[in-house]
Amino acid sequence: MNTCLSNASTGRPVSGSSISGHLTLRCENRADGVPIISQQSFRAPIHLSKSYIDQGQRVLSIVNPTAGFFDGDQLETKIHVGAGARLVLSTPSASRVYRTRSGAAAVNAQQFRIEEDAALEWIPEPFIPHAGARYVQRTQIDLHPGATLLFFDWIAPGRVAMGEVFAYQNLRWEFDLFLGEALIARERYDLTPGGASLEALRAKFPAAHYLSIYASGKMTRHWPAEALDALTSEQVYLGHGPLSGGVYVIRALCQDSLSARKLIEGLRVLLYAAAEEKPPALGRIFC
Amino acid sequence: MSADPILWLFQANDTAYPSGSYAHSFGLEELVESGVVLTAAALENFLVQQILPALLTFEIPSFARAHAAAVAGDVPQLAALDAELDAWRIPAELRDASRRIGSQRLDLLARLDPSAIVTEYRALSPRSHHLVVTALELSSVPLSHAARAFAFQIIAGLGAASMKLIRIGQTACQQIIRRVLVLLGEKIDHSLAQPIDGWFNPLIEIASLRHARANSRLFIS
Repeated sequence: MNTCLSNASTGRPVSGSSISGHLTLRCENRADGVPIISQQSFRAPIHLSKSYIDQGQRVLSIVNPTAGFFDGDQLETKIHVGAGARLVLSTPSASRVYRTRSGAAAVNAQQFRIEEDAALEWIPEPFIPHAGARYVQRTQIDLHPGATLLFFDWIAPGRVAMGEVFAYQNLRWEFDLFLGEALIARERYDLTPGGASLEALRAKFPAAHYLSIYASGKMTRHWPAEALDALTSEQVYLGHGPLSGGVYVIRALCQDSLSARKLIEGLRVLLYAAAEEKPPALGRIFC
Repeated sequence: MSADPILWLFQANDTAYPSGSYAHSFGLEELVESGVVLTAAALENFLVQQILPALLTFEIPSFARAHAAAVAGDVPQLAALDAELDAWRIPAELRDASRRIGSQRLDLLARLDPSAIVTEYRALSPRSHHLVVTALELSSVPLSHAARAFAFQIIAGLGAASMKLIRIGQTACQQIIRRVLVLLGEKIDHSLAQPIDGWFNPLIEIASLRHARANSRLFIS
C-alpha cells in the first residue's frame, strides 16, 4: 500500500457532538464468480444499504443517517476490491457538510484498493458544502494496472436554491492515484471564497458545478474521444485525455446541477458502452 | 561552470536562448478560443488570479526543492521530483510541453556546460521537466534569483503568447507583465520557504485537454 497523504489533524477544538466513524469494506468473488461483500464494518456517520447484483456487479449504497458532516466529524473509509470482483458504490442522496460552529473542519479520509481484474465504480451524489462549512477530503486510490476504475467526484457550489453560492469557509481536497507503485495523479487544493481559488470555477459559469472523473481498464480500451468532445455545450465545458498506463481523466465545469447530472448520466452510458457493457442501475431516483 | 553566474543567468533567460517555449501557450490559446480571455483586462485577471497563485503555491516551492537538489548534486532527488511532476500535471499536453522545453534546455545545457551532474542527470532523465532543468541550469545562481528567473520565464512566455492570440499591443502587454511581476516580487520570497502544495485550476486543465484535440491551433500547447 502506498502512503503519501498527510495525516495532520485539523488542530482545532471540536464540539462535543462530533462523530468519529468508519467504513471498512471488502468485496471478493465467491467460488462461482459472484461478487460478494466478504467483510464490512461501519459506524456512524455511515450506514450501508442492502446490496444487490446488477449487470454482474455488486451494487451498494452508502447512507449517511446524520444527513451530513458536522464540524469535527471524522470518517475513515477503506474499500478493498479483491481480484476479479466488481463493485459499484453510490450514495442515495447528496453528501452535505454543515456550517462549522467550533471552527473545526469535518475530515473524510478514504482509501480504495482495486486488485487485478477487479472493477470499482465510485459514483456518489453531489457534495454540497453549506454556508460556513469547513471540510477536508483525502482520497488515495491504489489501482492494479490490470484493474478497472470509474471514479466520480462532483462538487456543487453550495445550496444554490437557498442563495448559497460558494459561501463555505474552506474545502481542502487531497487526491493521490497510484497505478501499481507509480503515482500518476496528484491533486492538492484549497477552495476558499474571498480569494483567487474559486476564480477558475467562476470564470466560465457563476455557480459552476465541478466534475472530475478518472477511468481505467475496460472503460478506456475504446476511449470514446469524439463522443466526449461532443458533450461540450453552452452548459458544459469539458476536457478529457490520458494519464499514463491507460488511465484517463475527464474534467468538466457545468452551469448548474441539472447539466451536471445530465452529463454524468451521459458519461456513464458512454463509458460503459465503450467497455461493451451496460451500466448497473444505482437504485436511486436518478441514474 | 566558472563563468559569472549572473551573466549566465542573463544568457539562459534571454528570449534568444532556444528553449522552444515560444511555441507554447499552456492552454491560453483554448481559453481565448472559448471566450474566457479575450481582452487585456481578462489577460491580466487570468495572470493574477490563476497563474500567479499556482506559481506561488506549487511551481516556486517545487523549484526550491529542485534547486536544493541540484546544488547538492543529488541526481536521484532531481529524478524523483521530475517523476512526481508528471502526476501533478494532469493534462498530457502540459506534461509534454514542460518536457519538450526541459529536454531542449537540457540538450543545450549539456553542450554549454557538460558538468558531471548535467551529464549524469541527462543520462538518467533526458526528457526532463522545464522546472527541474531550469533549477539544474541555474544551480550556480542564488535560489532567490534563480526562482525569479524561472517565474519570469512562465509569465513572459504567456505574455508573448497572448500577443499572438488577442488584440493587445507590446506596450500594453509589458504593462501587464510589469504589474504581475510586482505582485510576484512581493510574495516570492515567502513562497520559496513553503511546502509544495497544489492550486485548483480546472479551467486551465480543461483548456489544455481540449487544446490537445483541437482541429486547428497555432501553438503546440
